[in-house]
Amino acid sequence: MKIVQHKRSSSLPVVLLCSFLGATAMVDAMANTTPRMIITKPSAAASNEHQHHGGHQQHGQQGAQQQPRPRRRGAGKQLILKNGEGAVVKFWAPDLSTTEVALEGNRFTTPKPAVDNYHALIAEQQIGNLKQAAIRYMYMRGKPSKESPSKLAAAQKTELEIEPAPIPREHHRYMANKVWEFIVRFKGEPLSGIPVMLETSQGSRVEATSNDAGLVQFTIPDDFSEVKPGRRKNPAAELSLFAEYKTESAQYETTLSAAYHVDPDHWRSKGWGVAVAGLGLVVGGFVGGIGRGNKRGKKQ
Amino acid sequence: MNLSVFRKLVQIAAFGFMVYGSGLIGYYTVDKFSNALPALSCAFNHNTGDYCTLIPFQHQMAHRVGETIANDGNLLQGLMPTLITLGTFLILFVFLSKAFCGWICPLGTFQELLSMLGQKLGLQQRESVNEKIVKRTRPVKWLALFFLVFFFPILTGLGYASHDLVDPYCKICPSRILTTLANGNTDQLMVDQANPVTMGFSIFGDFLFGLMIALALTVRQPFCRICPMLAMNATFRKIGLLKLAKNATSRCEKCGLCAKACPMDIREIHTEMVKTEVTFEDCTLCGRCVEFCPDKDVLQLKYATIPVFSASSDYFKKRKKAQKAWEKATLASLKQPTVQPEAKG
Repeated sequence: MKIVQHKRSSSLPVVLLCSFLGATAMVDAMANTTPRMIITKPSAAASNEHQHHGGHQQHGQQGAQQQPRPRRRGAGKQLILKNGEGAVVKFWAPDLSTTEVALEGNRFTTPKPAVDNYHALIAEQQIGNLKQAAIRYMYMRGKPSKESPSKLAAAQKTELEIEPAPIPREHHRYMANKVWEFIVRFKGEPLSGIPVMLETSQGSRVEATSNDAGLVQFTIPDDFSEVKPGRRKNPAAELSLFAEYKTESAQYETTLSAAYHVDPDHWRSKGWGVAVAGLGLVVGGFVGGIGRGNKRGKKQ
Repeated sequence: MNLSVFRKLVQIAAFGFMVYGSGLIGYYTVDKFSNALPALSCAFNHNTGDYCTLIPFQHQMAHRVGETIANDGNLLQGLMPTLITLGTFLILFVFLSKAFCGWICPLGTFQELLSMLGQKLGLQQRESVNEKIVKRTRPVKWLALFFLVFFFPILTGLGYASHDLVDPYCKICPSRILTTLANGNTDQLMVDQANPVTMGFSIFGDFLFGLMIALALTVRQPFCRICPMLAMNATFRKIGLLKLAKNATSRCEKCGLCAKACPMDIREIHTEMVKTEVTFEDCTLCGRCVEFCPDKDVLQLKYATIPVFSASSDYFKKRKKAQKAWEKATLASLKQPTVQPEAKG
């Protein structure tokens, strides 16, 4: 597996470097002018637009100014479909039932969920012999679904898809510097040797190739330009994974998008943690040792 | 096989399930458990088989109860998630009673294993902790339950405290560090320098973790004595089906072996001569007092009033012999010719 990382702002030198290194798939992907269809959050789309105008810092500042919105149980969520004007969007429930979602321009709102747990949004569109798909998994609140998210993730929802393996569990999330795995599937079967591109809204790109089991592994880039101490002070950014596959008669493209968060190690020190625990050990040893004279005699 | 050995096997199996269980039952199945029976292990561990009930309690105090009061919302609606958590906790509690602490809890098991290691290393555990220290320590678990699990999270929900106090108990809980380290994840053994609150709590948590390890080598169950889960269990101990019963005789006054055997140093098991129900607030229903009671049926573990394990002189003799053999076998004793242990205690 070959992984290359660079910032979009310095694309020309990196393209040359990649060419030199032989990362041809990456160069091809960058040269591809077909706009990719991606499902994003409204704030992420706005920050992407800022970013395209050359402002990484703007993204952080804008995100930090956002006020947390109260979450309502069972409410739908508003999202944006980029480059998917003619797409059909479906909302997949944990039991694999689907509901078509109406697009209003490039925006749409998910239906009010009947149950909790992960749901999937699948957008599909056909442009000539190119079939594009965009996928995003979202945790919805509601009554217990009684279904495992693995059922939803493993189900064939479109021809070419990137399956999270697994989707982050309750209380966990995609985080910078952490390793996550995905499976590339075509019509439900794993695809090996497929280059997958991970892009972030902060401008990083990482490429990896699926193995024999269709598995591809990424360390999410630690690319937040302005990190403040504390998780809540750092808004999430967006990542998307892209893969394409050609058959004799058609070309398929797919994206999987999700939010990812700052690595808390920016404001956490493991060294100090070990040192403090060591101090506790010493103090505990001393306190425990005081009573060593009080040995058990005929103890039980 | 004596009861202690059987209990150790149960504890080790439970430890495996609690710390690595998602590999056995599926990565997502754990979430269903956590929704249905949030009363077991730690949510910070990615591979855990279940979640500790103290996590939902803290978050519900902050995000449901506190925020509902602050926004003049419907209090019953705000309390409903807490009542559901409490209800599901009680379902489990009725069946397991306080035996969760003595038979299931991974942190309790870890401390017992350290205690065994301490004994083998010849670090000589004390016979029992000083009575005054035991009595002074007992209120700590109630204070931890009240302030760290309920009070500070509610204050946060009301807007009077930092959001970093949503889960203050988790921030100092040694199980958070233990279960993640056991999975090769070092993320939780750290000092969080985001602000003074997180720094203070993380330093205290790390210190407590180190302190617990060192003390567990010489003192039995050091952290259990201040654990808010013990206080939670103590609150509802009357409704648990498993109980410790005593039929005191005149011989009890001079004996006291039960109190010496107790890993929580509950001397009242020995001194109580009137009550027949002796599941005291610190009791973890480990059954050691019953094992070391030499008189027939004086101490009993009863499940729904049916005796499931009773004291007897024959068992006592075998158990004492096994215990002596176990205690003789230390690393120091390996240098000298000695009797091989018959069984561990």
